[in-house]
Amino acid sequence: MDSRALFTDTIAMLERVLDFRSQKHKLIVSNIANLDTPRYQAFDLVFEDQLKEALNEAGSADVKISDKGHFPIGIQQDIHLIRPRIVSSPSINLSNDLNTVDIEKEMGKLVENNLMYNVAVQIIGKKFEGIKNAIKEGGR
Amino acid sequence: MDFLTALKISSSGLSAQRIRMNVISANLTNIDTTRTPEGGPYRRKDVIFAATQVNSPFQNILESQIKGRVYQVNVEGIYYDNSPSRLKYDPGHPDANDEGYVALPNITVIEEMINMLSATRSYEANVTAINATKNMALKALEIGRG
Repeated sequence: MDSRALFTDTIAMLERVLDFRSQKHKLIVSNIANLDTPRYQAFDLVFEDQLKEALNEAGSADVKISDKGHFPIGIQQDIHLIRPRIVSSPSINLSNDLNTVDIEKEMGKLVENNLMYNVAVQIIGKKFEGIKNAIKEGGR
Repeated sequence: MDFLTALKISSSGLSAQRIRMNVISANLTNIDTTRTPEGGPYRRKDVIFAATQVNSPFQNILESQIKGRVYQVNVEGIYYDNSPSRLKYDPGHPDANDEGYVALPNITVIEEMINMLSATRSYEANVTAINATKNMALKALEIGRG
């Protein structure tokens, strides 16, 4: 049996999101640690737009979109092909020591990234719960 | 994903800020010290921070994209501030020169205090980052629960 029938694309996608989030976390943590390092260049990982694009291009073979108001279902583009971009985080440099870390921004990103990670984990958990429910409770 | 790398980076930040704090404390303590083993008044010290690459034991394909972009912070050295000493007129002082001036350390309380605040805030930011890392790692374990 194809395991994809049971563990749909959704889980694969969420897995990918967790990967990206944890990489992004590492970059944010690195920026925070180097807050006082002269000439340190802050970096950020951007993947949201590409993920959104991948989801928008969706439209599974089984479910045709016959009206503009229909939402696409399923993910056609291989989510493993999404390549996140590394950007150098701020465009302006305000400090004298050529350090480009904006601590308020980094802390905000830290919290946001943390919350979004938790969201993805929660959804994966619910997904598994749903599968378990279908297996166990079906016979009653 | 290894959260251990993230923890390693944050703890390097903590230790660097702690060393900076030690240096600031030493400066404040010796603000009026006129005798040192090297001779002359105490001279202000400061730290040099340098970003250094983190070597992660778990390198995967995704990792290679952020490779070379993740740095921990190291204290590369402690340097002496070469600005001139403060001169105070105090002819009765045993370390006074022929004109009656005593050379005092080139330390200003305000500067040290501000550096101290900055070090404290940076330390706190790293603690927050460690807590966030811990949160994510624990949350990931919840997938397998229930």
